[in-house]
Amino acid sequence: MSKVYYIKDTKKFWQARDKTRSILDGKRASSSYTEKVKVAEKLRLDAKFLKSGVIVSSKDRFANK
Amino acid sequence: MGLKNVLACLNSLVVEGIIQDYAIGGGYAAMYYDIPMITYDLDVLVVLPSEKDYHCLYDYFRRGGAKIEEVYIFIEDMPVQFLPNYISPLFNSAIENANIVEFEGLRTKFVSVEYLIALLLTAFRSKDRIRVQGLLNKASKGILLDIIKRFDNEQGLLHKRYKEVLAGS
Repeated sequence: MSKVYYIKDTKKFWQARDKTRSILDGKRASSSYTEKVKVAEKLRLDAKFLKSGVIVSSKDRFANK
Repeated sequence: MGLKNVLACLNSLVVEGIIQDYAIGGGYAAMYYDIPMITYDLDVLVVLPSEKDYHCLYDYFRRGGAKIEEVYIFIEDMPVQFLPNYISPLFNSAIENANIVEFEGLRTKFVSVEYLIALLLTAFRSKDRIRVQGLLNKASKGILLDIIKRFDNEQGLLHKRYKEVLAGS
């Protein structure tokens, strides 16, 4: 893995993230009933798909714990 | 299927060298480990060498004609947010220690349940608290406390929040 650095000022990043989430939440909340049903159905399918997943490799990261 | 194609797309980003590695966090990871809860977007923690590469990632999708709204890139109609590892040591460690999960022959990576809890404690919105409560009984307390200890701030905010959730559950 290449060198990892961490930016000190992450405030701008989180502000952009929160702003975008807020916009998206607002759009979802004001969407039509049909749209909400569509989103709910997508979530149902995604949840069903996710439940089919099997962990095939897990790092034994804290074996002594 | 939508989500499977999104996961395949993430894998292709690694193969093409657009990102070095990734792990899924947020609501979809919570949905994998626990019961389904409302979530709209897919949070993907990614390993990128620099901020320049973060912009290159967006350019890659922009060139491909993907819809981009603010920080979201839409893949198969799924709003995806890429969270670069250089933002936080916690992100970086969460990717390094992620679980490999197989779906219908397709392998992907999810942050471990303990890292997911730590990430949710960082965000700590109302829905994050509820998710943490649901995930606690699936996590190793020793591993979780170790993560919190290693990545907490000077004020011990993550530990305080962890105790707060425990008190409320």
